[in-house]
Amino acid sequence: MIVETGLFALILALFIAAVQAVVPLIGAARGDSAWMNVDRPAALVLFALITMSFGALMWAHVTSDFSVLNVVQNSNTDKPLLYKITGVWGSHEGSMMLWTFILTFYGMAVAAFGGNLPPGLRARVLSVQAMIAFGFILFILLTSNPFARVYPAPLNGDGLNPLLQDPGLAFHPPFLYLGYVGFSMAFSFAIAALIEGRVDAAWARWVRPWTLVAWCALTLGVAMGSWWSYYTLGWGGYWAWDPVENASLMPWLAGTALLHSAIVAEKRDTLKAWTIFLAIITFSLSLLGTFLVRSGVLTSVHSFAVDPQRGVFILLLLLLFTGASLFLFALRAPALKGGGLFAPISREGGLLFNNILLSTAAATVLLGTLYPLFVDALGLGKISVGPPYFNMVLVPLMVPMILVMAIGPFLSWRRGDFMGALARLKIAFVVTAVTIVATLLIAGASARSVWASLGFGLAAWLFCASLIEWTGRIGLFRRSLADVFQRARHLPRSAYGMTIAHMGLAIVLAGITGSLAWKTEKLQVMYPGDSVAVAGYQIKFTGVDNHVKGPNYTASRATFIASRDGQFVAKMQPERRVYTNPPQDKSTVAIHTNFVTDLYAVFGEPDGKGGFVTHFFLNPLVPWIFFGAVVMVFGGMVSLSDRRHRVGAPLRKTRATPVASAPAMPAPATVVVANGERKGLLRGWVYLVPLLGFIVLVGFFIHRLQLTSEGDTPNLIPSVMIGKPAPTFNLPPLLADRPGLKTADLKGKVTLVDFFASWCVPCRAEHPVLPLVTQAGIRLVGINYKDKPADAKAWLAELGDPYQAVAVDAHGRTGINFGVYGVPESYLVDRNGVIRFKQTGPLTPEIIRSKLIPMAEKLEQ
Amino acid sequence: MYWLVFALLTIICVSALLYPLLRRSQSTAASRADYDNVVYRSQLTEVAHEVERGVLTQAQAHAARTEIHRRMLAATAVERKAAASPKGSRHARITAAVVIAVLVPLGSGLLYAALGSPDLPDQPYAERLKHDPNVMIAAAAHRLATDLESKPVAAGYQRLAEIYFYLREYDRSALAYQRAVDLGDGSAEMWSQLGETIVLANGGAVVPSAMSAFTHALDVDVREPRARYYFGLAAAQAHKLRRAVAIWRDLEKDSAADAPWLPVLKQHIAAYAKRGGFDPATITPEPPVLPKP
Repeated sequence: MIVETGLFALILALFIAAVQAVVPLIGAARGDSAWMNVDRPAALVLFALITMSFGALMWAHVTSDFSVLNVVQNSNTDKPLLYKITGVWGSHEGSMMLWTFILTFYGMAVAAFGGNLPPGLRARVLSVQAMIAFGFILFILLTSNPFARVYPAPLNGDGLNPLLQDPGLAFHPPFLYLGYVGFSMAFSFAIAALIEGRVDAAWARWVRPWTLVAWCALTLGVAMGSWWSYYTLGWGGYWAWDPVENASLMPWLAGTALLHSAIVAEKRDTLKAWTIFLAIITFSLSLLGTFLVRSGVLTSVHSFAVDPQRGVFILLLLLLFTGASLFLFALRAPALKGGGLFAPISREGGLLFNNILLSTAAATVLLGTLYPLFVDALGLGKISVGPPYFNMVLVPLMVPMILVMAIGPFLSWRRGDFMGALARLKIAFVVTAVTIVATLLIAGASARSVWASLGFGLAAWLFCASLIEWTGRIGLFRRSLADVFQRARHLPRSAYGMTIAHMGLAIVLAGITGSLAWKTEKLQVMYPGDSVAVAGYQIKFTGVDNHVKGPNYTASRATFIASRDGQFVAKMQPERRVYTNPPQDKSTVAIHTNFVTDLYAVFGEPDGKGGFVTHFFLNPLVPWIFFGAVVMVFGGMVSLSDRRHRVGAPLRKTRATPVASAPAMPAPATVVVANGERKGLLRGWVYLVPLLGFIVLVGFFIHRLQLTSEGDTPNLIPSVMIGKPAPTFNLPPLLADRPGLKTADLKGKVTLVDFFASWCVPCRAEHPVLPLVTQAGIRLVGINYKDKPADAKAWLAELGDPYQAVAVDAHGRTGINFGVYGVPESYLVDRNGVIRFKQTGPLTPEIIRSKLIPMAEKLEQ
Repeated sequence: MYWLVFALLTIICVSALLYPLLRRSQSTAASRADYDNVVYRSQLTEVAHEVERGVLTQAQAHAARTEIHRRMLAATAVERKAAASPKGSRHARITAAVVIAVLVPLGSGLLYAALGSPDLPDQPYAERLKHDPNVMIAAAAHRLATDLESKPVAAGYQRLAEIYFYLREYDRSALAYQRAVDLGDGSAEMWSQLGETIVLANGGAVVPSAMSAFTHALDVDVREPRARYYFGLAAAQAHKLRRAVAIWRDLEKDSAADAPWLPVLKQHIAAYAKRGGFDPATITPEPPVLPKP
């Protein structure tokens, strides 16, 4: 009953959304307030229906109703209640429901709190909002119905991926979605304004709080996602430039630009077309992120539900929303008249400069994320773009941005006094210089500490300048204390918001710099009782408890005692868990933080001789990154609470008042010159460029989706290699006196090709069992994957060399062609050079005995 | 019941949409310029505040005010142009209301008929635990499994394996048999049960791990019938039909006349011989050949 009512509510919501999309829009066009007024009840009803539907799905999950397919696939009775609830959005269907729920939540918020919006604008905004809702509800109903039923109901469910059974992942999608979907409000406002043909300073004021809410939520969502990746994936890092991470960063960059350009639009009635463009782009990037994650066009550690069929539908939605809005933009934007002029050196100039840098940053991230797709589509091979690219292009963009970010608030509107601003920043210069010198003195002169000192200098510059700007505004050190207090109290909250958010960014920057420059790690095999020194800490491995029981897993828990100079610092207990439903492994990390530095311990595989692989990291200043992000969000929220965002609605029947109450008009002499003076074709055509670029992009996506559905899998790595000839390669040897390896060498005898690397933890566990392979008469060859030759040689010298040949795949190109997801991986190749079997992850004696040897014997016949 | 709830829901939602359309007295809202001017007036106040705090010079404040006043004028000018737009007729409103009142329920009903399963009631686990015998058994098995984790006994795992087998959870059943064998119950019967469960878990394919279980069974008791049957099936799956029939005939020869498997076995022999196009009687019975350890 409840489940079916949930489905019916969702279906009814589809039709209500259709009404909300059409009727108010017609009303606004005809100036008929009755038609327009359908918008508010419709938005409220839509929200109520989606809430009912989402609630019904949650009910099914909480009561473990296994007659619902979605529950069967993602839940199990022994899952803790918290994850039964948050598991609702762990699946694709559920996360799309959450998406729609948040979308209609924003619609409801406009209906309920948008009393200050002109009815025509509100009707159009809610209409656009309903179009988006209609598209997504239709998507859910047609491709991913969360209420699909199973008869007869299975006895129990398959359980949820253990990686998702974690508080960080449980709570970051709602915030991420509040951000992504929140930018749909800015989008709807932009489209409404384009339809209406009116973009003015008042519009910019109305759109601002919604943008701010979305920005805060997205900032928090991105930070939480990064934090999740930091403490669950156990790799010691917090950002990997993974496609899904990029998908959340791009709207953040564009959204930050939008937030700032809207200020200019509000204050000076200019940069209007640009603001509209950013609003469209920000939401489009959110949609693009959804598309990339869901379609399987790119894979990632964060994507858990992939289906190319759904990809087609989302691409269609993207095409419709982004394509249509860019078309509308090209049509209407040339007519938007600019307002006030400004000098290059002015507040507007600074904001515009940083806007351009932020958008360029978003564009470069987009390029880096999609570049492999372009290269592949043009037939230039398969490549992947890694962190070096992103670091290389983003640093030169961010450095000038932060320099200007500190100065901007000191410049006045229209025409700023650059030298004057610099003069007020004297103290900031001094602090920056001291920071740089101090860093160099403490850390010693090396290339690394030079970079670190510059990063800290930049952070100090921004932090200090923000503080000075604030003290200047309240007149600290210049006025009496009572006066200062008075001023501090009356300073608009938005000014506080800016100061806090900018200081937050400075903290994040310092955190990133510290973690990049001084991260240390140590990987080794330890036996209980062993000690190891990591960056000044002494870590003692006291033992393992193999019988830890959780609600739905069993675990081996290691205990490490960290000490420093003989003083006890922390007891750390990382675990290796084996979940029962689904039967999967997950390791939990132990982190000891003193809010400046994290000591991070990972407990790895046993080596079979009583030892265990252990991995320790010392991550300096990483806590600051997350702390700084929270400070930024706090700044945003303070700004949101500004009185100005609560400007009320006009009283009814006040037609006579407006201009009459204003003082007499001064002569409009100097200031206002529309900056839309250049007429003619060229100007109009410029606004078409985004649309054309977008169409090309869609072409690439369609091509890629086709390949994906034909089985050429994402990340540009063909994984379905079984039954196909081994890819062509010719690799140099690792050891000079031994042969290298090429495709032809694989023929003639059954061969196991083992990809390994000295940096890979599970490889160490796999290594001792490799002689079993050769003992069984299988030829064993190794390919050293993305490794430093020296490290690899040392590894073989330490652990022994079981391989008949070891080749070097320094860039991982051959690995990609084989379809290597992560080392270790091994491929059994028959006498004709055809791959017959693939082992992902370490080989175990069991696998060698039960699978590899029987298969090899059959192939040898 | 279902339809009543759905109808009620639809009526409430649709009437909320229709209310603004059908309301007799249409309130005349404030004009767009009024809304704009609220913002602009607040901007003027801000300028005044900033002058007070000394952030803006008089000249700057003057320029800012000029700009804001200009916006106010512009807003009012647009308003005058827009004021001429036609007001909607009551006739059109009623038409729209009728269209909504018909299409929304109709569309929802049709789409639900296509996607919904009105015959299926909710089945919360707690309820099923009271009424559905299989769920009760599964829950009991789960408890047994938990108990056995701390006190492993071969007989307990055998019982658990049988329960899972009954529930058709062959993967779990095979794991439980494996545990029973590991705990020392290495009887031929147990090994061949393990093998059979593995075969069922693999959709009927006699996979290598099953073969190794059957081999163990025959190591213990070379006459164990179930293992011999599956050795024959393995041969058949490898397209060695004569060999399969030979093994089965060997089993047939050793079986008592009232052995429960005999009818099935005879059927198999006949069917596979027919498929191979030979007379089963011409095949000499042969025992399975165990792989050398």
